[in-house]
Amino acid sequence: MRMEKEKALVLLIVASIFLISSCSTNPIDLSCEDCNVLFLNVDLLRADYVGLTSQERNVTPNIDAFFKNAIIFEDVSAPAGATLRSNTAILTAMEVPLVETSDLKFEFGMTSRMYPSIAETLLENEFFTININEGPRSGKKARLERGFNSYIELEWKTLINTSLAKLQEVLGKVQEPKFILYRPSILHGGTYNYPLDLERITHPNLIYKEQGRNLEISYDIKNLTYEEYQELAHKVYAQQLRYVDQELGKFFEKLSENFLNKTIIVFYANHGDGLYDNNIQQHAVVYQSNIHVPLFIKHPKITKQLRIKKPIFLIDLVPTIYEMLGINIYSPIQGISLIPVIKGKEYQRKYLFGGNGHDEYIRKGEWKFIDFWGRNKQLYNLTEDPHEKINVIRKFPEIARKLEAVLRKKEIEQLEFENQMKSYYNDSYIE
Amino acid sequence: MYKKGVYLIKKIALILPIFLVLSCTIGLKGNSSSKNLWGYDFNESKSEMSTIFLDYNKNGEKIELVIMKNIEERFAKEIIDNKILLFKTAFQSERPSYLGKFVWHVKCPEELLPKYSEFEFEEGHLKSFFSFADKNYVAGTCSEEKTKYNSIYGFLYCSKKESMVEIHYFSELDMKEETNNFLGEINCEIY
Repeated sequence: MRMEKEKALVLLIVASIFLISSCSTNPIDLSCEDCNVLFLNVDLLRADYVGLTSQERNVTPNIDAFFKNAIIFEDVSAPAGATLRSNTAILTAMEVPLVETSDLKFEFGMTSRMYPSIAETLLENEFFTININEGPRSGKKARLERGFNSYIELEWKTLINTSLAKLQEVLGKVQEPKFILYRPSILHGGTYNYPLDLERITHPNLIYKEQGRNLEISYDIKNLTYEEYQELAHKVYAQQLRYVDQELGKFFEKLSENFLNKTIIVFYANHGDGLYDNNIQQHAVVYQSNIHVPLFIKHPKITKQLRIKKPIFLIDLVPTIYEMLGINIYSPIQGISLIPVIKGKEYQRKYLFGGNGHDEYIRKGEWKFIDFWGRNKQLYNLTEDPHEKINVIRKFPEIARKLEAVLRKKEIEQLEFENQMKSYYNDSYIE
Repeated sequence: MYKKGVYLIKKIALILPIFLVLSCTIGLKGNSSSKNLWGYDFNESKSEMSTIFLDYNKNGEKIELVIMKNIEERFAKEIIDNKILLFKTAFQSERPSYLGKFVWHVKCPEELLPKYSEFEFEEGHLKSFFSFADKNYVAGTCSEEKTKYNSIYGFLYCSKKESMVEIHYFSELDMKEETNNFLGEINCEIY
């Protein structure tokens, strides 16, 4: 009897060890060596407007449906709220400089030629690379046209049905494996470009002006209270996004099974938009309205939704794709692969940080410290206050100080790094 | 035996909270102390990144200093020049070239415009702005009715000690003399 008990105990222990060890080896396989990569970068798309990352609104049913069984990153921070900086940092997987140095007068694009972009790296690895862009801002002006076999620059704020038709056309034409970066700017405010034949909201302060076959939408904020024009800005943005979502839905429907089975599709925004939240009309600041962006990765081997709740940094996207494709890189890179995080392991990055030249932010967990011009420091608890309405710096000075100290240290580290890179660059680069 | 066990548990239950409170107090005290600098008794707190924060808030004056040690002069220069330029830019009326960029400049009447000054020491230099601050201690307010404090925002670099000090000073509006005195006291006799 006693022997049997002992045997049962040994069996139980062996079974437990087996169960524990099988649980700890994660079965998620994300390698995708012969896959295509499609980047859909919807400029100015706020994460709190997308159904998969926020329950606040219901304006993106088609995007939500298409990426339903993708890897959903719920809490993604862009490195900057301005196009040139954020795009450059994301595509080169390098941090944005917190201090603008005087000798390489900042345009990040000027210095970023030292760092290869994903297009250059994939081109080297025999991908066919295509960029469909709008206006020069995130392309030639940022020197991000480099590395593309085909660089197609459409007019600024081209209607999305037109730019998607172009994307559809090139998808069918080029050889594989291919990397396509598609970047519509149709959500860019000031004035919106909208199709003439689509249903639209009315409001006494909304101005619709016919421009050929399109409508130009603007609003007059006279006689409106701040809350009223903030509400109007949100309504017009939602209308614009519904149109984007509808057209993306049509595009997704046309994608063949064959293409979907061998393509990693990444949906993200390089920054969001203010819409008068935190008194910010548009963007280029570090508030959440500007830097909290969606990031979904639809992977041929992922058939169930995978949600990542940890705060992650958008400059880590490109190294993640490199790892999925099995590509080794030999140049300096500051982004780190998100694959361990996707597999449920630790995220090696302790802090997220960035800025637009006139402001800086640093984030650790739920805490975010912001420094505007050096004269206005702010601290927010993003769990309790996701829209950064209450600055709690006076209530939690010690937390602010710890974060500020790390930010200051980071400024120095970046200057040291840039200095090293410059001497390397000056030695090796011939104009 | 049982009684002994109960007695021991009771003792531990009594001693443990006292021990915890004491160790927390000691721990907190270990992180902040008092430091006299430039004639002011600052409250000092150190961070893990060898950055020191000094606070003073008495008699109508509020001072916050952020001291960073072991910074090479060329890097300190980059940082200081950048921050000074940023502060200046906020009050220039040029529009940004990029349409999406929020317009940050503030229209400021001449009498409220921040006044910039530079001062060279034997061992370092000070670059600072005198301006007015609002009730939230935001320097550079440009509206008469929001003006609540005198303000000095600036940077001191001490080359011998390779230390950079970020300075935020505020005083009541009628304390011009004290404000000037503070400026006069700034020197490189730090740590």
